Amino acid sequence: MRNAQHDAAPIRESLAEALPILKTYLGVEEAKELQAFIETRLAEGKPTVMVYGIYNSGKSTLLNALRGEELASVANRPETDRVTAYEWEGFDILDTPGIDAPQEHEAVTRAQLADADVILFVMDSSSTFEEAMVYDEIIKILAANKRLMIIVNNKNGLAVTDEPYFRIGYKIVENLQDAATRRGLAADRAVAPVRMVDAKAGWTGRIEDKPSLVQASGLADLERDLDIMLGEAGFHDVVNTVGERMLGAFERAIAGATPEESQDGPSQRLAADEAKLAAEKSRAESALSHARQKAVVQFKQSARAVLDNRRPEEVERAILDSCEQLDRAIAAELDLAASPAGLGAWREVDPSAIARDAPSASETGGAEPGWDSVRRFSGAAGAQAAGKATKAAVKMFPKALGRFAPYVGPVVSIVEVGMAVWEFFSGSRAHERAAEAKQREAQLWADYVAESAERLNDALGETVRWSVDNAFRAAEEAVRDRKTELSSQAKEMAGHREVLAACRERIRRHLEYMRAAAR
Amino acid sequence: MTNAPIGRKEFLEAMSDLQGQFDDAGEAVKSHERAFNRSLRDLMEFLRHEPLALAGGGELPDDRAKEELAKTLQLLDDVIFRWRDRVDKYERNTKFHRDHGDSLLVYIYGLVKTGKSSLGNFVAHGRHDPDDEFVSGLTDKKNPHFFVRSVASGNEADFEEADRQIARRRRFHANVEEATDRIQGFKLPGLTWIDSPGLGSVTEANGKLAREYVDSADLVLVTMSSAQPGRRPEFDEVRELMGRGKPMMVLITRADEIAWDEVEGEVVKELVMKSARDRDEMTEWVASQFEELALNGTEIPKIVPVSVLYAEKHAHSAGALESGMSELFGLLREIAGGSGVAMKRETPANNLRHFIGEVVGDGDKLGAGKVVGSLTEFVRSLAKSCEIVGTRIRQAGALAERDVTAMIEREVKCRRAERDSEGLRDAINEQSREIIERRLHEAAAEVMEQIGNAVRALVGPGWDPAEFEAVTEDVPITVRERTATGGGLGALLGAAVGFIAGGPAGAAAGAAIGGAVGNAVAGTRDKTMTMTVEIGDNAGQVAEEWTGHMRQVIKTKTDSVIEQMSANISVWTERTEEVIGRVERFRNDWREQVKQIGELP
Repeated sequence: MRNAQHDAAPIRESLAEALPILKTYLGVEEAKELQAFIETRLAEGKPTVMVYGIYNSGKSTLLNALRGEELASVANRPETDRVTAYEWEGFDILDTPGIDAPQEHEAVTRAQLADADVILFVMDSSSTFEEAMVYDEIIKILAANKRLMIIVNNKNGLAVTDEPYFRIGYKIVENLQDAATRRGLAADRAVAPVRMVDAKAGWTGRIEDKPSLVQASGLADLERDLDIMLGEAGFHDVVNTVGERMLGAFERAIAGATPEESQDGPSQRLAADEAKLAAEKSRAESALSHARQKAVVQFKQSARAVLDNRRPEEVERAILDSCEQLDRAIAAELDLAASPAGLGAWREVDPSAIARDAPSASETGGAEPGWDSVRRFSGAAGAQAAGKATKAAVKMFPKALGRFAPYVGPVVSIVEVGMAVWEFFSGSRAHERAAEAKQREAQLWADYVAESAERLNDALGETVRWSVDNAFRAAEEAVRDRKTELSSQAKEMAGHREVLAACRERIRRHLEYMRAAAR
Repeated sequence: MTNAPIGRKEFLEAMSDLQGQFDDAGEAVKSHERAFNRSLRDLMEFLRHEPLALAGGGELPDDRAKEELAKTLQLLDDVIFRWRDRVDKYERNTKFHRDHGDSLLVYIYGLVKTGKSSLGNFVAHGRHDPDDEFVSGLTDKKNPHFFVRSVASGNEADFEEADRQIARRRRFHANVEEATDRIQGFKLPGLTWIDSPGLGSVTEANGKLAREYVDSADLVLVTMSSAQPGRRPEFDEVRELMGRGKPMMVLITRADEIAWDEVEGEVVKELVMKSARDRDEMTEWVASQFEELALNGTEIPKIVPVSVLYAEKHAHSAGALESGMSELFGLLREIAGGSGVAMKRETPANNLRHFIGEVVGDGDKLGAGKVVGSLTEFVRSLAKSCEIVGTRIRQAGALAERDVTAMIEREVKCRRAERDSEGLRDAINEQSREIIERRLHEAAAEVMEQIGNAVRALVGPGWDPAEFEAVTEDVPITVRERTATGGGLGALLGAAVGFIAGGPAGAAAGAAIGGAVGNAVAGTRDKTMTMTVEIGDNAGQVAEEWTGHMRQVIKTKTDSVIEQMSANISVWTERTEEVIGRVERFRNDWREQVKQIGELP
């Protein structure tokens, strides 16, 4: 029992490790069925023997002969459509529907074949032993490392003394080797004992108690050889079957865990969506960049017209017009742009965020800078200054004022006249300064417009970026999410494949070791 | 003529009596045969060359179309090969049939080891495996002439050796192992009996050879072993034969068994017929399988269980009747004397009709419909590829637009300070070309290579972009000019008046007041002048113009690439549709013409 546990350990470990994954790829039902099968078979530990072959080759007759009683139904047409177990020498031998009949009885037989440990392949001496399909079936059994005996039902009634009796045996061995070569199975694996028996004669001998008939039919020899073969069969055959079935399940699960990359597969569809989205976004970016450039050019043209009167509110009006122009372009472009997940909203431009303050009085030198500059040098200013100076002097120096009062008027008059004369001569310079001031003012306004244009350009650029990003965000996120999902699926599948492959390898190595040990 | 059981000799005599009535009637279909062969040969020639023309039509836009083309060309190759093979087969069978035009050609056909050769030996000699002694006692005139028509190896030396052997042995090999690897037969007056190799044999060539000649048959006897009658591969073959309207009969062979017994401790065995119940059961089972086939209400063929061993053993007793062979002979006589002559005459027309039917039909292996289907699929794939690649090119155009727009803004920004318009033009031209080429090649390399059309001059002579320049504005400047001396004169006058009125103090006050009044009275005058101020540069306008132009250039370019690709694909499509049309005309013509030799199946 310790050996049995040792033989079964890798199977059990692999099943425990891979079962959740198998459920994913084979379905819960199938995985559970596999689990139940493995656990039951390993727990029972007893090899399953199955009779297999083309229908009417004599499988049921053979079972009746072995049992010495008529239990299995015998007929001249495909009869059995279910698997029935018959006990023989402590073993359950399963009678199965024959293959190659037009009816669909085969599925149950083939399913049973996968689960059986020892196969008794029955063929008919009069016909099928020269057929290619018979050997294809046998090669599959040998390839699955099942214990096999080929039983030729001697329907021709050939006696051991007849020359063809042995020729059939040789021919079967030869055909088997040829089939192995065709199917790529090593010659040393395409070996199975071949036994001849006339099942019907053996059965008759048994039920009519005619020992010489039993002997002549080959039944007694067959029983002896069968007894030896089944005696050699044991838990390792069960492990082999269970292991082979698991290998098959792992292969299918690995195939299921391998993403299929067809032209219309999910990855390809996602890539197409992604490309479409990128293209739509690029087109929108480009179109709106162009619209933004146009809006700024438009602003500059409008702003030039308002330079004459230099009213900041008109510049702001021009900014607003440009913003509205871009808004319309954004609305049109992003409305037209299609994306898989639909577009989000865009942002309208906020003109107040763009226009800087208009040139201030301090920058331009006063509310009416031209006039001011001139006034500084005007006579009135001088007079006012003089008046103020006089008042100050009166307050500060009352006595001196009394003494020099009579001279003040003429002095002031002289000063005034002098200043007027000076002013007369210096008038042209004042004009020049006034013009310079005007120029400075105009330049300030020009700079104001230029800078506003730059700021407008930047602001509109930001608006375009924001709007495009925002409009495409939902779609891009959807694509990104799908990508992440696919990637994580692929990652998960890769992990699953790794686990399955490791389990498969473990079982394969274990089965090879067991077979080598058995040899 | 009745179908009452008869003996072998009676059967052979009946066949001999019918000898003069059999007529191959091949002449009647010869003109159709020639016309069809010529027509098919022309079509094959056309299809053999046209695919080369198709393949020479230039590169296809993508892998999808390439794969579909490869599949289509492969299918054409396969179909042409099969048609050639089928023509050979037809001619082989026609010749074989004509060579035996004076007799009913009965063809034995079945799985390996179903007793075909034993059956033939029995019909020829009344023994399933006559020995040399028996054969040497036969006189040449009364007995069958054995011959070999073909060997599975196809080797001429093998054929000659086999023909020599059978002429000497005058019987078929009938061993426990598979023995037949040739089309062999014997001829008796009014009867040609053909023994074919077994189907499903481990030697694959044997089954292939059997199928090669079955069309020559006027009547096919399908053998099914009583061990497992009515197996799936047998019904696969039967279905084929019924589909071709081949008259047939089913023989459940080896309807016997060995009965073992022990008599006084000794084992004895005896060949007996399977019980009547067993035989009926087998017959019913096979009949039921025919019913399931339900091929257009085709009649279920006669099914006869036979045992040549039993018939041989009981040749001169009532057992002969039980063997089923007498029933078989009776049925054969009835068929030969009844519908046999018509059957013989019908075989060439039937074969030609089915040959034409197979070629013009939709069948997987031979049907021209398959060719049409594949070519149509190719045309569909072209349209699909055109759509997919067109989308890719447009997407590439969009990406190029974005890249070029960004590049233009970058270049304008770099070059505005220097006002390097020339450099800007060169840079935009160069980089745009590189961007557009790269994007289009990424999207559709095959198409771009096929078009061989690099992105060349992007800025044509008809378009002059704005150059960098300062943007200026003529600004009017108005200066309010005052009369400069007004205040001074006012002051002097005021001082004088003030002095007269109030002495020095009055002079001071008068000067102040006079100055103020002078200032006020003297007034101002406006002087307007125009000055030019710079309000930045036209970099924005330059960028805008370049962007607009390049977007248009990219659109034109992508449209042009798509147009050229579509034009190329149209050439493919038109050529392929011509081929489809040619094949369809062939099919329709022959669907009509074949009516003259009977309805198609």
